Amino acid sequence: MSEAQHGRFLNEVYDDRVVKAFVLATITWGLIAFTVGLIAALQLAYWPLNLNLEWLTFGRIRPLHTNAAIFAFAGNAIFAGIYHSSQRLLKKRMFNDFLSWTHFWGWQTIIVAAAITLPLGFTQSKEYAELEWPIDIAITVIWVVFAVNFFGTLIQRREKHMYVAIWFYISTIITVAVLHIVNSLEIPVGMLQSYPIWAGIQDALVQWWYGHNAVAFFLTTPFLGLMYYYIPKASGRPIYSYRLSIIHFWALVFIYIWAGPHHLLNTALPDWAQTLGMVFSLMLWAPSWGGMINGLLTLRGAWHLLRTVPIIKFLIVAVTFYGMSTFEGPLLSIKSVSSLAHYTDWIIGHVHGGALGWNGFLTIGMLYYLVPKLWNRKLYSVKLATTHFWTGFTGVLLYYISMWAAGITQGLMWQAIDSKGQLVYPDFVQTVTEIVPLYWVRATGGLLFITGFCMMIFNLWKTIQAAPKEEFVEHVTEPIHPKDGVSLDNGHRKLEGMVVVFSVLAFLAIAVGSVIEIYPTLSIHKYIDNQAMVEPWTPLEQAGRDIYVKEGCYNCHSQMIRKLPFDVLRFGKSSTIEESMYDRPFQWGSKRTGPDLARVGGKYPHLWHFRHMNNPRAMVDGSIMPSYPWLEHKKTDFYSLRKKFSVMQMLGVPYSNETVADADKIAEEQAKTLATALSEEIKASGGAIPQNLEQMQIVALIAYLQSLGQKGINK
Amino acid sequence: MKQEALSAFQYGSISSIAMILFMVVFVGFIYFAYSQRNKEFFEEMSQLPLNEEKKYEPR
Repeated sequence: MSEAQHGRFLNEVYDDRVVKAFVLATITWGLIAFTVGLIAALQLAYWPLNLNLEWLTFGRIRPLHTNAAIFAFAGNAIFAGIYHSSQRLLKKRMFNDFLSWTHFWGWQTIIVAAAITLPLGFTQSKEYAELEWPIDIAITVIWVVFAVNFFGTLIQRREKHMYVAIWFYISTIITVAVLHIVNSLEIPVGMLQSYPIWAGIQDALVQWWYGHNAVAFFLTTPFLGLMYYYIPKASGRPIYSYRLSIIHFWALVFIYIWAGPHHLLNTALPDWAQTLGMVFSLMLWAPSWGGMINGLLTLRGAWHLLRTVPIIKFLIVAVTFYGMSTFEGPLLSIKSVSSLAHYTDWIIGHVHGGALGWNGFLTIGMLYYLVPKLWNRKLYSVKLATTHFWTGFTGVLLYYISMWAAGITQGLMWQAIDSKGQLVYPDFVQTVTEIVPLYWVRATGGLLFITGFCMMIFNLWKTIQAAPKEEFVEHVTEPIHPKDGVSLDNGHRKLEGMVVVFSVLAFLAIAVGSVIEIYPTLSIHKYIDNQAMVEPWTPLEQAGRDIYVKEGCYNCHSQMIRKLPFDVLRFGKSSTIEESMYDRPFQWGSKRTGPDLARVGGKYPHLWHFRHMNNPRAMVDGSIMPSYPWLEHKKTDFYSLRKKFSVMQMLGVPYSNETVADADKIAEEQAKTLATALSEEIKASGGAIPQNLEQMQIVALIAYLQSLGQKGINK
Repeated sequence: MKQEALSAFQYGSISSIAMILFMVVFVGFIYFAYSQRNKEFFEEMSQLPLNEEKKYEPR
């Protein structure tokens, strides 16, 4: 018969090599990310594991862990899933092989760069956006490569309609680009240092608009896309309700972008922004659970698969954890709940319920599905996969429950006020030592999770080893039917056929919330109370501040006293917007493993800080803070201060031209004065005075710490 | 300061228009998703990931 009668046939060979590469990268980086996390967990349980080595302290290890988990493990998993499923859903090989491999190697290079620079202390201190400006530029370039490759494939696709998974991928690519670029607007002051153009409250709002939506558009939407593809694939059943998925997608994309301010509840952020964040966070509950139900009910009538197929176990439990996390998230966004939970380990538990339970298990389920498919070989051991499931599951539960208990315990201890109106636990360290046993439980949970992951590595390794030697290439022969099927002429049907219009609409959905939230904050300095203005940091204080940022102090110390009675009782007057108006980057923090430092200035003598930084246990019994002995013999970088101050001046900080021109000299003079005073205190206490003390980092850091909360013009 | 920052939102009609607009869009999506006309189409769409491996042999 003639070709015309039967249509033409498509001979397409999908590019699975790059998918394999991403799969292997996911496994490798996953193991590293989890192991670094375990080290960080153990450091909190047992402080000597900081080893007194600057590049191994918690403040530098923790950002390494979060970045590796999010961008290396989850990132590569997303790319593997997107490259694998998109080619099949669009019936088209990836647009360009060169772009695919540029994407792969570019991303791995970025990860290596992060793994080197973060332990060395090159950081912007903005959570999950710590990487410095050259790496930020590289991320942007590689993301554009990914976008061109993906949209190129979309435009050349042979399937007219875009399945729901594709919509989630589109929104991911667009939104992550917007988030990354806006939050990374920074001015370099050195090869690996920069200051954000945003200051104080602006920086805080932009950062948590980014931070929350990194969760939304890096850890949620792409994984939902994977869910909508791999659960039907693994169970052989279509998604429960395609209609629900439409509502799920648009509601989620529209609402998620507004929720960022819930990270800043009860802070100096204006109330309207807090309320907005809280309301939209509560609204998120509905689409999130719509999506969860859609995933779970896909198994309706086939629940036996949950018992027998380990892949299904992982995928379905992942979706359940998604449901739990997205129930807990809105709960934590209620102002009164946040006043208990914020800054505690409850948040760490919440995050790991999502990261290990949802992202981790979904990725693992996907890997168990993909490796046998890609290497054309049955899984080595189903039994081992089941053991992996139960080991990992126990690990996540231990993690979650211990951090829940730790967070609520500590939160209640912070709040406890006796009948005389005094704090029941005035010593912060008491509230820390109380929960250290739970840190051991958490580390055990993490260890179990890693043990399970190693079982998977062994299992997949054996599978790959036994795979046929000649490379398996999936060869698909299908009729080309770009316009067959049901008519395309109305509503969403038409929309699903139009990549550009669809993408623009998705962009608009996220842009509306972003603009309404961020725009008023940009002009907030106009409203600052002149009576409450503060003076900017002196050159030496700024040098000390840069050391504070470099050492990652923000990982455990906030600088934001909330408008809550127990916060004010413990740390002093609540923080104001004005107090951080020149802070680049802002240091409000998100966790209090140690006390708030917003008003620590003048609270202790210089000598106290000097001895405390050398060995915190000498001053605070039971402290779990790492020691920082190197601050006494590493020199402060005075030379770069002129450059830094000219950038600050350009960004609108009211420094005089003289201050900028002589920044280094002014700093050295202040250092000399401080070092002299400190030397006398050391001599009086009978301690040894380090040589050239005035040049050392400890002096700059003390200058900064002593100025915290002391900069008000009309105190 | 709060009042001034909020002033942009004090035009009651803007909030109401936004509210109505959002509701209309939302109801529109629900109507579209659940209208009977599209039922068959959605069923076919939900089969997309499952159909892909169906091999067609050219005759």
